[in-house]
Amino acid sequence: MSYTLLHLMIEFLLIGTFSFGGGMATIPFLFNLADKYTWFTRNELVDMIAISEVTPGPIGVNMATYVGMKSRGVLGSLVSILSLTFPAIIVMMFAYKYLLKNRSLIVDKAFYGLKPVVLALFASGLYSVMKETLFTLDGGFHLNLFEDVLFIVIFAVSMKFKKIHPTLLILASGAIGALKYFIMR
Amino acid sequence: MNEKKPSLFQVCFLFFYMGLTTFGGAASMLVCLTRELVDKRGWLTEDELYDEVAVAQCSPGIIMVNTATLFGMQTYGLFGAILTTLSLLIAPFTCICLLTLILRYLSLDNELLSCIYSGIRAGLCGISINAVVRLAKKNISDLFTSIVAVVAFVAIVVFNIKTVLVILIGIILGLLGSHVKARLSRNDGGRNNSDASNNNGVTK
Repeated sequence: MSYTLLHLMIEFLLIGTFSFGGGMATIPFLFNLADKYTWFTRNELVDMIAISEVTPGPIGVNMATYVGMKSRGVLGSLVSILSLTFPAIIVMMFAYKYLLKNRSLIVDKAFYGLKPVVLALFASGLYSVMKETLFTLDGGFHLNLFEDVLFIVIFAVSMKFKKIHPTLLILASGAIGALKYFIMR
Repeated sequence: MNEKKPSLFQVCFLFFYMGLTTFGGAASMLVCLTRELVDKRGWLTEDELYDEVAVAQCSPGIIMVNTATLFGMQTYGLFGAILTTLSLLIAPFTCICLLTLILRYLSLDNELLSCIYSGIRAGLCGISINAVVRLAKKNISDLFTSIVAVVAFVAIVVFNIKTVLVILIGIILGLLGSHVKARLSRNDGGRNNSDASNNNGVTK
């Protein structure tokens, strides 16, 4: 049986409706797609996620585009990102109207508890990326020396020189990674 | 909303630019978003931006896309929301499509790619800490909120509790907490009624 654009559209509409917590929350859904359809394997998906993280744009959008591209070409990627964002636009329409524009006292009270939770969600997202980047936990505990030093340098530079565009720092760290490759070879 | 209202083209262009220049997850995009919207252009105050980000985080979908939609909605209604969202998507879409084509005809050295990859990831972590620190300064107003933040963090990281559940509990705690807080400050003999959390961003 061959799968069509319609399958892709429905799957991404579902992902767009049920993934709470941003791009990282779509990853389990994408693995589910790898099992369910013949478009790509789980191993290919791991590479796709890695590439999505280091190309411009939010990681969730990149992954959706990549998955669409892999399964049904350019048209597929167009369908996948549009279906991914469509439910969000609807939800945001109501959220804006009732939560931000005509903000009642009860919303303020809810925000009082919601804001620390949002902070925790951001921090936990960062924590999981840092855990994967800065150490290796294969049975033991190893520091990834190159990444750790680079991380501290970039952190220090971004704290000290707030004028530097963050994207420049990211590109510089990518270039340093490439430099490391040519030195090590 | 500030008195400086940007034109629709300016809004769309900014979000196209954000799509082109941000990398990775929500924390690293928040650095760029705060920098462009609050520090450079002054289209939003920090409180307003973090309110929008909170709504975006707690709704289904990609946080950056939701923030773009909310900002578009705020400035130019539904039409604006659709246009800003589409302009955010253009750059990532084009990049991935081109990249897939390049990778099809040209196999890059895997070792080189993984070196660049680990460099970028280390850099992303470095700049993202700034965003989280800045968010913490605004979102933590007292002892109660700091306890909620720590407990929520532990619940997510250690116990793998589902995001939706944590968000719901946060809302309930917020309702209860602000109720108790109001009660306490009344018992103080009305010493102060400046509830820091209750006047965030309601300056319309």
